[in-house]
Amino acid sequence: MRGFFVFLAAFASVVLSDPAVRGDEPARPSGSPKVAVAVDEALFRERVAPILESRCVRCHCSKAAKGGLTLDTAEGLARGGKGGPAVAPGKPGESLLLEMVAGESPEMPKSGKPLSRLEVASLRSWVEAGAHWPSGVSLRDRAKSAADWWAIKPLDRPKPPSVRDTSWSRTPIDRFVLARLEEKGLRPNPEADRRTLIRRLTFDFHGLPPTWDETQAFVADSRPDAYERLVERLLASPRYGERWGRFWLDIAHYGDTHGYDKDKRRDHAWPYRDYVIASFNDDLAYSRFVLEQVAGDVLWPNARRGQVATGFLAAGPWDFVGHAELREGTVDKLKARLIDRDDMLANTIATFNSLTVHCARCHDHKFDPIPQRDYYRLQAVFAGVDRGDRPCSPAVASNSATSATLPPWERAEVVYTVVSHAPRPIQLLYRGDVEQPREPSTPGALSCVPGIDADFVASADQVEGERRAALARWLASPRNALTWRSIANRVWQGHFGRGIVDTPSDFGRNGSAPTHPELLDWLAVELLENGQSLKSLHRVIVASAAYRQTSAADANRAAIDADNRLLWRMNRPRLDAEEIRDAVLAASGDLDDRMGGPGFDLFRFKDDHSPIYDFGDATVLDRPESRRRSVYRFNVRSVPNPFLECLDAADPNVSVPVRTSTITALQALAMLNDRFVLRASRSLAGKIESQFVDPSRRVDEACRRILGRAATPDEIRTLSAHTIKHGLADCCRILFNTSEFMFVD
Amino acid sequence: MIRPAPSLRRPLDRRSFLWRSGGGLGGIALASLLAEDGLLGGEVGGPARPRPEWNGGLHHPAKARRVVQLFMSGAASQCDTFDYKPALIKKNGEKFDPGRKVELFQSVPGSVMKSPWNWRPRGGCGKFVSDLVPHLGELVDEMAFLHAMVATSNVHGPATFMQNTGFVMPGFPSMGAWVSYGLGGESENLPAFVVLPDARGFAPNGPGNWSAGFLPATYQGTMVRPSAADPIHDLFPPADDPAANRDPSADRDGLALLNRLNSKHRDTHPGDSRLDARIASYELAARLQTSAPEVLAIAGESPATRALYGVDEPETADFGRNCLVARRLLERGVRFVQVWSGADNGFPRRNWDSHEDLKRDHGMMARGMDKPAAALLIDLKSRGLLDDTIVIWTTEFGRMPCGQGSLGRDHNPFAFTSWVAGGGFRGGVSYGSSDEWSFRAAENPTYCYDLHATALHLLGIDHKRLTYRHNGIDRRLTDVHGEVIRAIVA
Repeated sequence: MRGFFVFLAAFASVVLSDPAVRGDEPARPSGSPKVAVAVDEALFRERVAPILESRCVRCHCSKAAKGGLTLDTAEGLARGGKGGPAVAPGKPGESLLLEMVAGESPEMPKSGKPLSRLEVASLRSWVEAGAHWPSGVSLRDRAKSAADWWAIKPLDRPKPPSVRDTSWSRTPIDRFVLARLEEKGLRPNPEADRRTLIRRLTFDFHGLPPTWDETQAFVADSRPDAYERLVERLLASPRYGERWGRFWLDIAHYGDTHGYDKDKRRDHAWPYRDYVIASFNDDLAYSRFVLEQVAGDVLWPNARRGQVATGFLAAGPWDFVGHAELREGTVDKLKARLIDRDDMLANTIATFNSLTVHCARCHDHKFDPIPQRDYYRLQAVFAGVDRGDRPCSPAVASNSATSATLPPWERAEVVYTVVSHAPRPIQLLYRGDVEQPREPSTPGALSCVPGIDADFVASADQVEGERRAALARWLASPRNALTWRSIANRVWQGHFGRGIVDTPSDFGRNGSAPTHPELLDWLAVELLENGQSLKSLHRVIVASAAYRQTSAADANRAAIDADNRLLWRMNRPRLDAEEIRDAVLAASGDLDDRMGGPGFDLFRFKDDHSPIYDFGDATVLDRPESRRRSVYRFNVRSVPNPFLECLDAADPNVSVPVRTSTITALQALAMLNDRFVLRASRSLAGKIESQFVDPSRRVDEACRRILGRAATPDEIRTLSAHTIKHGLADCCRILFNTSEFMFVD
Repeated sequence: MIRPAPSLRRPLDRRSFLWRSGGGLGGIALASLLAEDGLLGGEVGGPARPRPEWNGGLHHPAKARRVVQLFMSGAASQCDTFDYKPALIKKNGEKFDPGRKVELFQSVPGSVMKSPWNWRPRGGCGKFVSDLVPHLGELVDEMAFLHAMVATSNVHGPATFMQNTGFVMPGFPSMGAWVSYGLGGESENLPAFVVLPDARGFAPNGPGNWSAGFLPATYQGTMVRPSAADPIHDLFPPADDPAANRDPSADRDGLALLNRLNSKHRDTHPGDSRLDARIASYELAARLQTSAPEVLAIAGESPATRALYGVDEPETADFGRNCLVARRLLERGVRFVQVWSGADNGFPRRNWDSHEDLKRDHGMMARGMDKPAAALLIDLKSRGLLDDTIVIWTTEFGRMPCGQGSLGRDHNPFAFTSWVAGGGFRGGVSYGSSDEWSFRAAENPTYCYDLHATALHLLGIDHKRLTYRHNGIDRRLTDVHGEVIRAIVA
């Protein structure tokens, strides 16, 4: 008999190593001889317990026995649940537990991915072997244990790994990248040519194409530091803040109207937009950027930038009817305020800490160690915050002559920002329901972040602003590792098109794991230790060989890493909506680079009970101020600009940490027929025709302006033929539609 | 269908291709192409692609293949249309005292106000319907009424979001977007999801009501305005632009030239399926330029059909044309069509928000809506389309049985009526009821989650398994709620 059981146990390990093998062997007689027990215990401890602890016990334990079933003790397993016994020892085919977790679309676990085939095979082997549960062992939920969660571990600068190929690396970044490539037997691409590099850098830093002359100058620049000089020129230009400010405004879900019904104008929101642009251009230390946006008005009460910066908290949608028209004391008023605070706190935590705290409004977070209690502590932080227009202290300038030279946002007399009230009482809401309040909440932040006190109880009874100031300090602390990983990842994403964590506002367990965790930490520490300067971080990143390589694809390497997660080539981004619009304006020579001030309307506006925004009016589109950069357009929440929306512009109703990039027939129609492209094509053709007479030179000039390169002889022939028949404007229109124009390289 | 270039046939490329490509209609052909290979479901886990053996169902056999939703914006009154309450007639003018606190949006509760319209039994089932909607009244045997609908907001914006997306906040995908995400379209030449706004303007929230939210833009509603100078934005150069007069050969030659330039560029950038997708997108665009005007050309419809929809009568012309175009879209394979009755909350009233004068404003709205909506049902039925087309008539919330001022009614989120027809629903039945006043849901309170879950069920979709991961949550149209209402499923 003993030999039989040894055989069975051995078979179990075979099953484990090959998940495709299904257990059809004979049922095992009852009884548990010793040898088998030892093997079974190992099976339980090493294979089964981790599955139960990470996937089952949270809903099936003495505290929460869903379906009457507990799986944290041997007794619970033996007792089973409402549906009957959980397992029939030795009979996997009759075991409910296996039935629930196996198959094409299993019932369990209720949340997250189904168990892997290997996990199911492990459970099956264990049941086959008698479902032995070592005596005295009880399990606990480890689904959300913070201990091994990469995102909140303290930061420490990792040492760049050693690599075999020592010739490729230019910076420590490259050693992190190359080490992972070498693990997979992959090699990176060579450096891109100069024309590609200047186009890549100029779009990355400015969101604009380089001019023909800039390209020619860089291609001809033989100085050894030509590349570094180019980077410095680009970083010093105010176009940099306009580009990177746009990324930030996507995340902040900045808009120029309230949204919802009665989508009224927010004519004083723009100073915040300009503050963001200026902060990038001024290379504001990142912690200061964080502090100002959450509590600038409290921490620097005499500086106007602090009053403007908190426009971050007010940036999102706001239900005018719910706040301005509903009466106090009604249930719907409570709901409107709950949702409004939810928008502020969720966006604050998602922006600065890349966590999905909004998931804990109705119950403890299902994946991350964020209890519902923490969520309501954050509600308490914002308990006295409303949004609205607020007078702004006059510009501090030594005399009137200098104040006139200040940028518009520093001169604005009214700004749309936070309006402070005495904090309203906040209670934890059962199931997030305003009609089921529970215990009172005091202000605080996330208890899972180690090393910083997340309890702001000292500020609980103080004025509203102290609560925000406490949160701001908590967020900006060098010890809050989430903050520094989050921004380092966002900067990386801005250059590579995808973050090291490709869910940049979700570092939780439901988000993606970092592809290069050590590199991310290295970048975060680099930022912290270099004066928190984003520009310095940019310099380090674009200096790398990883950044400078070509985007050429390769079937062999794609077979190993099709998604290019390991960066064996540079990614090739399609221009985003604003880049396309701005590049069309730049190419046509019409771009108006005036900075700041109120946004320009790309619609006909009619104020009404419910204001009307009409994007169909030609006279509005052709106004000279509408040729400014897209970041300065007046961004309407309820009625998106159809041209930019179809090119995947960010929806200002929600935080957009990553732009989607689609390719659609409606985009094709927009690029072919939209008033904006037609007008720009005519404008460019007119300029070229007044400058050149020779038809070949004209189409060559169109190529230089639109594609940034000279036309090939073949193109001169075909484009000239088209131009003779249909005009130069139509030729320009077609060039604006090329993939070459729409992609960075 | 466009034959995919060889590079599109590599599975690893193609999955990422789906998420980056697509679009109002480009995506349809491409998405269904991918669905054939079973890649669509890969993102959400489990078998999630339309199966021919299930009549196109995703998770189980489908009874319906398409949906048309008629949205009454501004809050259409249940107690003046389909929710008959003799108590209101009996107690007209008496103090409104339903035995609990009445918290209204704008006003203090006035006295009980009977409907200005008379009620009479209709159809074979004898359902009482008011004279406000006589044409729809004739069709009660086709309809399943939900009389205990409840909204969680009494404000137009959030409540309109809720009926469309299941959430009271902006930024979530509408039902039409979810359905096109799950099923794609059936036409290679038309979008999967088309929206016909009220000719007078947008409802509260504007195009946010048919947004794709966090789903790829592929799945958002394509707006069609049949009565506008440019019914589909950018389908052609704007009528007042010089390019509108360009020689047709310019378009043909231009597309040929573009194809040449893009093909050459593609050939020098191998391994990037997006470059193939761009070339395909221009071919699809050209096809839409041919197919869309044909759908909108209702001149060829018979005089009887035109009369049925009232397209030649002033009061019904706009909504009638939209309903007729809706039928033509559905016939040609559009998956989800949304037709709006009611624009913004401006004055004079141009939607159902009759705070001031119910008789005047509901009267005006219903005269425009009733006959064309009935025509759509009759027409779908006569063409054999009603059996597998779901018709949903809904609104964001209802109106109070008591008066506001002396002539209007305030908002009522506690009870309102929606009805559904066709597509596997039972006819001549009612589910749930309001109290004796039509003030609060009494029996079987029903939320948009339940209505959405049931419609998805008939489309062969398990509402709990149509999910998309966004900001840490596997989002659904039905949030964490929703029960299929078996009682109204045939």
